[in-house]
Amino acid sequence: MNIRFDGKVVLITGAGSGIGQATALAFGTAGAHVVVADRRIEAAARTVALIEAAGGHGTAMACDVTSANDCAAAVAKALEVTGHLDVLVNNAGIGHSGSVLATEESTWDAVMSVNVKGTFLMSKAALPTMIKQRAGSIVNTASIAGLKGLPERAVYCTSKFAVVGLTRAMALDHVGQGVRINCVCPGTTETPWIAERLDEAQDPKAARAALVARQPMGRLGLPEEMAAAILFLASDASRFTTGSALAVDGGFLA
Amino acid sequence: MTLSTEKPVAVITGAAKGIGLATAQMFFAQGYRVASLDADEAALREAHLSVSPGDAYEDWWPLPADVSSSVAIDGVVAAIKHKWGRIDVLVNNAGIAFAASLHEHSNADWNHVFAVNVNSAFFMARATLPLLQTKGGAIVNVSSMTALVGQPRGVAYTASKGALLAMTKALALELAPHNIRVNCVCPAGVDTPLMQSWAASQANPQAVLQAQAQMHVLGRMATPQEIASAIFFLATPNASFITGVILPVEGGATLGYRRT
Repeated sequence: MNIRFDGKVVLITGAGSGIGQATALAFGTAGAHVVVADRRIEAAARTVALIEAAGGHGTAMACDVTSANDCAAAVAKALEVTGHLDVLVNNAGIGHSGSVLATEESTWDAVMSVNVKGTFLMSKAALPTMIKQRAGSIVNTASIAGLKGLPERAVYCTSKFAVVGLTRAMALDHVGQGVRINCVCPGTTETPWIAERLDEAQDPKAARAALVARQPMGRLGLPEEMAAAILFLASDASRFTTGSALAVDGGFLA
Repeated sequence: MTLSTEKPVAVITGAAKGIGLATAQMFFAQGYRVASLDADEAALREAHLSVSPGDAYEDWWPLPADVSSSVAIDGVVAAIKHKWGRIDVLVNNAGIAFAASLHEHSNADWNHVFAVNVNSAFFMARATLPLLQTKGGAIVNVSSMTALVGQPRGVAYTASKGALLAMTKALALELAPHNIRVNCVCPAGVDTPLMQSWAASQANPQAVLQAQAQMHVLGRMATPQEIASAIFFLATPNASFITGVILPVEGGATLGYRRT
């Protein structure tokens, strides 16, 4: 199945690195104009350069998803392209390792703010346009931590369960208005964030081996594999699917 | 140019009508050879005729088979091995519906539903494993939304579809080291010949179809193609890190309460 997005405008948050960057590149390669939003404009610009090198089109946008003004500005930027917004990927997120006892109140607020409130604010900014179009698809990046409790991930699990819940509730609210809303739940993926966590470990090699050992497929996921699932959920190939949480985890939850 | 011997092979059960036929057509259109298994020989022939004649005509192979028989399946898989030498995708789609109250289920009814809906998937997976292993293939089972939420007047059917969910997870874990992925789709109401003939047998067919449509938050039944596109996605390298997943393709029917 060759999923194409020619003539479509796609807005992706947290698109300066990792899964967001791979997803932006996949949409760009599939013909979409990608608005690459990231808190760090230089990271967003790097992703746009990758898209252009692959023959696609993109626009970099500095965007802090915890700011309603930034979210509105990102949607406005997307609408400058052709006047419509076809796909929103709420991918911006931050991770945190630790139990409740090892989580500072400020950390709790930061994780919940980016992962949950950011998804809420950006959806709130994009939905009026999609409802007016009577067409649109929102894909949220949740996590296996949004479907199962994981040790030492108290606030992260909480935030990702919330993303899954928000996905399901929004799906019901807007189903009659032509907007589908789904989420992907990546398993452990080869991203800069995971690389940093491994580097911090006392024995990075052993830490990586432990991560791989818990994977039924015997390896971590690739950002491109998360991107392929996001493109599927954003496309007409999944037009009868809304409110679903698709695990892309190499069998971790099986 | 790709040699025809290098074409990937999809084996699809219950492929003469409805979801199975739409799935077979999708794989065929995407350049797969299709082994199309069904117990209904006449429908199999008709489906074969729907494929446009030409070079690829021989790449659609109608195989009449009772998939509830392990002997029949072992024979069919041996024939596929002999003729095409590979299997990349197995879609366990064959299934029968059975609507009746608990006290109306005979032992034979229960056994028949399990033989067609569950045993077939087990027999097919076991028979195709040696061929799937050489390629790192994919299995997709077709379950039902009833396995997720239950349904009155369908204890054997619902239990059989639930068995497919558990089989999906068990096989996903067992076969992951061989790079064989196993996933499952759960359709709700699909506009198939089976659905239309069932509605036609009811007192008010129009009202029955309307009620089916309203069961989904999207306000309509699925087309067979909409189920096929989900099956195709899960079976292909686009889903290379997805295994053991239960994907509802049910227009939001299992999602929860909604405004009426």
